[in-house]
Amino acid sequence: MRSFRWVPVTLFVLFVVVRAGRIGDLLSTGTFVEQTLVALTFTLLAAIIWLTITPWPEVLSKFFKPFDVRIASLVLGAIMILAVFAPIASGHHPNTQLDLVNGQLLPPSLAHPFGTDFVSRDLWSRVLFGARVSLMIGVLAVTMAITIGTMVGMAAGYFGGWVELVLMRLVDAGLSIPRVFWLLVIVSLWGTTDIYVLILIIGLTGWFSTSRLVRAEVLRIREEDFVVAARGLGISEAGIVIRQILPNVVPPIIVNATLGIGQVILVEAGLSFLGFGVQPPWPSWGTIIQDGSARIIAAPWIVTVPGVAIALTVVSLAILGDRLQTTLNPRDSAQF
Amino acid sequence: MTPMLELRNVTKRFADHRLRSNITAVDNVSIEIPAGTRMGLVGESGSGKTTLARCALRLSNADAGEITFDGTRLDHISGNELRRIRTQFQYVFQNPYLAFNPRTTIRQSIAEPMLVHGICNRGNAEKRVTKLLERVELSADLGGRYPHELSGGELQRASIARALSVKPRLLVLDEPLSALDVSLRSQMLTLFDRLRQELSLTYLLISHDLGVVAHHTDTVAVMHSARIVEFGQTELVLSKPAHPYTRDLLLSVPSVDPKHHKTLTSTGQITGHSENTEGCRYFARCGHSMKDEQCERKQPQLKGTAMASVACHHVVPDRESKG
Repeated sequence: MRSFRWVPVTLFVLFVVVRAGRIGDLLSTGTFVEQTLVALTFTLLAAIIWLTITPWPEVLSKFFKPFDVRIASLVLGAIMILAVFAPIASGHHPNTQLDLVNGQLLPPSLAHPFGTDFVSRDLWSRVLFGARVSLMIGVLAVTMAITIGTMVGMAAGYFGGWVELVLMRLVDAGLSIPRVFWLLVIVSLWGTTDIYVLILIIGLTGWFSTSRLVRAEVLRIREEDFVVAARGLGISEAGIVIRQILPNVVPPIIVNATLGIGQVILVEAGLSFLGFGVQPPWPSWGTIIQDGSARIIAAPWIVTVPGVAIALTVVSLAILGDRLQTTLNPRDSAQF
Repeated sequence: MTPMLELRNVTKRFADHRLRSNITAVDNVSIEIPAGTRMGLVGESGSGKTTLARCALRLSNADAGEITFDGTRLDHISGNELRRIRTQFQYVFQNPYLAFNPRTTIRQSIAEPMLVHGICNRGNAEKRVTKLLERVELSADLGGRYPHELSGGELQRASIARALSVKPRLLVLDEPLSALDVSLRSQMLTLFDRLRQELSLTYLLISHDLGVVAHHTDTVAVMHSARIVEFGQTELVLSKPAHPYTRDLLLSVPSVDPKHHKTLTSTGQITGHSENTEGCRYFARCGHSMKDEQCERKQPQLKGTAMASVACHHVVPDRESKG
C-alpha cells in the first residue's frame, strides 16, 4: 500500500490547480491575511511532497498502516485544509447574498456545489468558513475540558478523603444542572459572545463527566499491585501519579475527548439557536443546521451538508483516537 | 540476636460494606524475624498472610500494633523518612504480571527506583540494570521488553531484580512460586538461596507449599483465620505439629506414594471469617479428640518458647515439655 502515500499529495495538487485562478486573484488583490494564506498553501504543498518522498519513521508508518486510519486521516486532513484555506477554496464570501430574487434555496449545481440557502448565500463557502469556527471551538474547548477534568479526577481519585469529597460534590452539583442552563447563566453574566469567551465557557462547563471518569479509573489503578510496588520502592507520590497512574488513564481520556469534540460542535449549535453562540451572519456548522432546519423539506441539502461534515469529523476523530490508544498500549501495538 | 523486623500486636481490619461491619484480616499478631534468618509463613488462602506481610512493610497501614524495623518504628514515620527506609526492605509480589506497570519497559521499571534514590544516575543506569538482570540470570536484552512479552518465570526474576535494585536487607517473598511452572520452581529456589548467600539477605517466605517451607526456611509461622496458631523451628513444627490445624495442613499435602495416603482429621465445613466466635477459630473444623466447651468459649493464646509456641488449649503434653 505504498502508493497510498501519493493520495494526499495528489489531492492537494488538484486543489491548487483547480483554485489556481482564485490563488492568482488573492495574490494580486487580496488582503495581507489572504496573501499569507496563499504563501502557506505552497509551503504546505512542499511539506506534503517532502513527506511523501522521504521514508517515514517506523512509528509513523505503523500508525497509518490500517486502511480505516488512512481514510480517516485523509478526511480529517481535507476538512482541516479546506477550513484553513477557506478564502482560497470557497468561491464566494460566506455572508454575501448573491441573488435575493432568483438565487434562494438553489439545489446543488456546478456553480454552487452545495446549493444556496434561503437568503441566497453559497452553502459551500459557508460550510468551509463554518468549519473554522466549529473545529476551533471543538478542539480548544475539549482540550480545556479534559485538562481540567483530568486534573480534578486525578486529585480526587488519588488523594481521597476530604479532597475527593469536596471535588466530587462540586462535580455532582455541576452535573445536576443542565449544561445549557449553565451556559446561558455564564454567557449572560459575561455579557459578550466573543468566540474566545465561548470556547472558555464551553470548556469550563464540559469537564464534569471527564473528572468522574478519570477518578473512577484512578481509584481502580491506584489499588493495582504495580502502584503498591512503586510505593514500596520508595517512589514519591508525585512520581507515582505522573509515571504510574497517568499513562494508564490516558486511553479512556482519548476516547472521551474524541467523542467530546462532536458534542461541543452541537452544543455551540444549540447556543447559537438561543442567540448566544456565533453571531449571524457568520456561519458555524451548528448555525447552518439551525438556519436550514426550518426549510428541511424545501431544501434538505442545507442541513445535510454540515450534518455530514460533523459526522465525518467525529467518526474520523474516533478512528484516529482509537488508533492512538492502540499505539500507546504496548500490549496491543505489538500485535499488528 | 536482635530481630531485624519485629511486630507487636498488629491488627488490620477491612470495612465490609455489605455486612456493615469490619473484617479482621490480621488479629493481634506478634512475630520477630532475626537478621539473617529465613522465616516461612504458611496458612490457607484468606488466612491473612499477605495482609500481615503488607502491613509489616507499611505497604498498607495496620490499625493497631507496633512495627519495628532494625530499631526504627515504621508505624511512627511517614513521608520522605519512610520513603528512604523502604530501600531496606522489599516485597516480591505473587503475580509478577500485576506487579509491573504494563506501559513501561522492564529496564525503565528497574531503573526508576535507583534513580529516585540516587543509587545510580542517568548515565550508568543501563549498566546497573544489566548487572541486576544478570544477577537473577536474565539476559540483558530482556530489559527492552514490556512485561507481557516475558514468561512468568522471566518476569518473576525481573521482579526480584527490581526489588534488589535498592539494595534491601530484608526480602518478603509472597508466594513467589505459585505463578510459575512446576519445573521452574526448583531453579527459583536455588536462585533465592544463592542471592541470600551473596547479599546476606533476610527472608520472609509466604507459601502454602509445605515442602518448600520445610527445606528453605529456619522458622515457620502457621496462620489461620487472621491469627498465628503455631510458631517455631521449621523442623520441629513440621515433624511434630502441635496445633490441629498444622496437623491437617501437613496431612493435606498430596503424596506421590499411595501407601502414604492419609485422611484428614478435620471435620465440618470450611467456614469463612467470623467475628462472633469467642472461642477457638478452628473449633468448627477441629478434629482434636479432646475438643471441649473451653474451645468453644475461650480464645486460645499463643504460648510456649521461642523454639515453639502453639495457640491451642489441648497441646499434646509430650510436645509441651519439648518446647
